[in-house]
Amino acid sequence: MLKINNLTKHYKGSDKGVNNVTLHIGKGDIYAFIGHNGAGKTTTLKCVTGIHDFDEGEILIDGISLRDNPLECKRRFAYIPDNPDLYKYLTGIQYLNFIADIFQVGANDREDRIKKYAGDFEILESLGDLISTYSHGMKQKLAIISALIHQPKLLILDEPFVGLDPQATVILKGIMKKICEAGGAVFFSTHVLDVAERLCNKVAIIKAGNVLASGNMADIVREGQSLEDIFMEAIGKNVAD
Amino acid sequence: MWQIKILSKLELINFCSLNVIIHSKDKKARRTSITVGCIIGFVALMIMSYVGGLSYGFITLGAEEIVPAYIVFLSSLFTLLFCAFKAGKIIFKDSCYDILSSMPIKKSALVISRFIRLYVEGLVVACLIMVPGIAVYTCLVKPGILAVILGILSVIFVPIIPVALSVLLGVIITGISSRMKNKTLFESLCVVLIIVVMLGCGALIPTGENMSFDMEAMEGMANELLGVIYKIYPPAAWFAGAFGVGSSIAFLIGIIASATLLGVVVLLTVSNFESINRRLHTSIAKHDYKLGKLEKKSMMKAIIYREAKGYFSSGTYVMNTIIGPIMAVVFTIGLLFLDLESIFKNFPIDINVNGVIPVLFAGILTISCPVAVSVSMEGREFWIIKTLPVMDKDILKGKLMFSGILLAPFFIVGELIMIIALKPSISNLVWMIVMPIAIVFCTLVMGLWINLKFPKLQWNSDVEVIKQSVAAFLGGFVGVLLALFSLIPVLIVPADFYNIAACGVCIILFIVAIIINSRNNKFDLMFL
Repeated sequence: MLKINNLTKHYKGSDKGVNNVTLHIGKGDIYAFIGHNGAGKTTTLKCVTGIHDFDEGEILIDGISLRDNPLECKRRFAYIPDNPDLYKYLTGIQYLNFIADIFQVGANDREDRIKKYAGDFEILESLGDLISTYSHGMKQKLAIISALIHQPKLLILDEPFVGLDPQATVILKGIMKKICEAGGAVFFSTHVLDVAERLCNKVAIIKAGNVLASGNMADIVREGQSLEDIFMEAIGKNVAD
Repeated sequence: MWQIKILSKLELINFCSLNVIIHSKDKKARRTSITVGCIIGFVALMIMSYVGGLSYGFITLGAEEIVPAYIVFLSSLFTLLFCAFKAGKIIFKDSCYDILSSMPIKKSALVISRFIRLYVEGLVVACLIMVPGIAVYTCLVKPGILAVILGILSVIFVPIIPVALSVLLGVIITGISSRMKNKTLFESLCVVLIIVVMLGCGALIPTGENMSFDMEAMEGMANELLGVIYKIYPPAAWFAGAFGVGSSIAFLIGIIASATLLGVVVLLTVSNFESINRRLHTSIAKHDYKLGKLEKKSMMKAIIYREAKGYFSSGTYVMNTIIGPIMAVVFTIGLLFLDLESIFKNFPIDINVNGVIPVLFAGILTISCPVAVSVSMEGREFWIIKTLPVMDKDILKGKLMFSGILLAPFFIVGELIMIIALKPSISNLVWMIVMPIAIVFCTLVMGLWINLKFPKLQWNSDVEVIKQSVAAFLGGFVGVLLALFSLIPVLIVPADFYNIAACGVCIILFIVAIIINSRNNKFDLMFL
């Protein structure tokens, strides 16, 4: 579903970025991307979603090159950033309609999906209000609904659980599982290692722009260990510290 | 006092982008800041040369008494125009409000620091306009040492009144709009009202009708102009008296009046600061939405709809860009009442009124090119468009189309009035319509190109984009420069060849617009 081959991206005038990142996310995978602040998680996600250009490497979504055919790639995925800055001047329903129009989702389909997801996340009654009046969590929920409105094959999320209430977190995890059961894939960055360990079948650890470990969760987290132990070990910190 | 010092320092660092120039590792950002500095320096030089030249002209024509009043008036007017439409936003800016209001900072310190920031802007304007005028006047008229000293000191005090008036206006408008549901609409109506009042004052200035270019007439004209300036803006008389004739009393009256007004406005602002801010930062959500029938729109309609919503949500954006179109329509209405033939007959060259007026109309219409900041206005929400399956050229097309739709009603009304006022022949009628279309189209395309070259996507207040960005600055010149370019052949070519000249200008403008538009369409928004 998503192949990142030797991705290298450096910001001009800065030594930050990512080096030679290679990750393969297959159909049915829920892939966690973990690392400390500034490790390169968001940079990688921004390159994958076409927000940033990259220096070297190749990104393929469903076998299509992001560089050669960005539009086709963008039709297949949905992205939710860590801080969902949405159009403050639109109401929730206007924003959802805008996204649905861009993806040319039919009127009936969008109605059904908005009713379902907004109902699940309990923000249906707030959709008539301006986004500027929304709390962080409500914006996050709206961003998730807008991502699901066109039924993407690949869901890319940056810290999706930050700001969500416990109920919404459970619902989102359920949605992620359903997408994977339907043959899609989910690739997300997180700091919540417990959730990553329980939810994901694959994981990658990144430090200072370099992927230190990646692969099946079961292969990386061996018996008697937790993802937290592995993460601390990988970044060279002792838990006792 | 130390709070004012710290907060003012922060305000000025933010205003001048000093940290970007000194500390940024991003070479592009630094380069942009330095380029902006150079452009501003160039424009400053132009303004200084203009004022110096104008003062020299007045003095050599024997109307030297007008120079002190004129430079004080011009400086105050520019400061007022520069600050009036953004003072409310600066004083009540929302960035960091939550953090600052939770800190042990006095409200008065916050207000005064923001006042100081506006004053510094006014002081820069005063220096640019008054210093060359004072220099020329001192060299040629030799008004005496006291007058010169008072003149130089006046530069410091002249900006106080227009800045205080701007803040007063900002507080009143923001105070009322903060109680309203549709803040943007109210603020826009206020701007229209202010423009109408200013244009009304402008109507008092002598038009030069029946004027001839001899010394006697110039003297009469100067006296008339002086009278009008004092009538519109009495403080000009105090500071002009100080510099022109070295009157210490006039200077003292000026200082006392400025200090009194400043004190009153600061007190008024401080006493209303918290309540206005509270209302501005309190949002009411109804939570009563019922999902009804939804409609599917085409992709382009959705993009234009989003542009329109974004545009009308920003009072500053509307205020800044609606001035040109309103002024253009007012200009055409003025044509109905002015005897153009008698105004233009005194010019040293023959003027083709039907050729010049449409070009001036287009120049005024595009004086504040809305599309020149449209990319920057995407701000932090730019990620949405970047991750959606929309071609970059469609996004840019949407921006151009919305700007065209915005200007269209003003264009149509202005054209109809021009046709009624000028009663053109068939061939003149064609160019009266095609020439402004060519100028507007070329301005919009060039405005978009400027914004793609000088984007500002990281901002906390839209004032930073709409009032202070390079794109806004340069975008304001495009329409005027294109109008000037279009005027040259209209003025030079004999009336018999006007059709050929107009046709040539339009072809050049359309070709330039098409070339730049194709370059815009190749632009990859991912690189912004």
